[in-house]
Amino acid sequence: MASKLSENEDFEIGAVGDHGLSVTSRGKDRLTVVAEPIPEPFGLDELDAILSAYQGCEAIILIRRCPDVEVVETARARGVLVDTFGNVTGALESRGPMRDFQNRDEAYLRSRLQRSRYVSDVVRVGFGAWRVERSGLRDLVIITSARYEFPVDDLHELLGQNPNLEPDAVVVTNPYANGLSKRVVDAAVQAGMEIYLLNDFFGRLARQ
Amino acid sequence: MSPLIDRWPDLQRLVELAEEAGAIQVWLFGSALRSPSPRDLDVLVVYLDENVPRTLRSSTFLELLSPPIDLISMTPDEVDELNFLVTVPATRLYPRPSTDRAVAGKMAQETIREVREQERL
Repeated sequence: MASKLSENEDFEIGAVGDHGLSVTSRGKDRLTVVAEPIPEPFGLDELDAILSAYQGCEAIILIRRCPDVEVVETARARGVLVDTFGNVTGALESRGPMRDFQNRDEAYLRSRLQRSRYVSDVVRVGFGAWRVERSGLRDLVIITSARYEFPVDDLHELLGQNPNLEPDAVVVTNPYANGLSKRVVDAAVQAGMEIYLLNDFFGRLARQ
Repeated sequence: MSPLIDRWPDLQRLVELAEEAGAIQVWLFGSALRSPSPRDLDVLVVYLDENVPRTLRSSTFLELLSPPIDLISMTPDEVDELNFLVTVPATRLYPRPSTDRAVAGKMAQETIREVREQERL
């Protein structure tokens, strides 16, 4: 992981303990920790253990691993970003607090949803997973994909990345998305979820 | 060997993994076809057995490769329905393509049709 981060010429990397990396970039020295790559979801207990062992940790990288329900939100409340390698790298390159990092897809999703009069807040609850809080209506939990294509395997992967989440809907947010295949629509229905392209999701926001 | 695979050895490894896992086809598309230093390598894997993409994701740290590999996996009917290989310029990495692009595209469509026919039977 350190060698991969070192490919970025703006980063100076140092090891901290067994799993910590001190990354100096833009004059800031920030501590990130790489979680053990085990098959189980990354849970609250592990979050507590890491934050206790690595004081000042600002980000936790999950490689081929998913966060359990509440972990992303709890970590953010404690000032910590829990995310993929790509997003943590993006956060290290940014000037602001790492916990506030939004990649381009997230920024786009937020900007679109928050224009709806029904949406009061959008809270990140997993990898590509969000709780859409609405005024006077119940929250909706959605998982999103920003790719041009959304084949059924991507749906399975998204659900696999958020194994204990029960989403109301899956939303394809890419404005140039190439429609939805019959196979992916059938799979979403079978999984008990609604499925939308982003423009069509706005109609759903108005309904209970 | 394809010059693209020569340029990015991780592609060769992915193609081998895909073949072992039972993928029908592997295609390279996106910026890697235009640039010698793309941000990532976009790879399409066509499969019938849903374990194929699962196996590929669990076999290698795609995100950590240089450049990272962005994998998309589709069944033959999704490739057809979304017109993927019609609308997106792509180069086939597996099975090894014919050098004639038109022939390669035709062969690819035929392979997919054959597999779909087998599926129906």
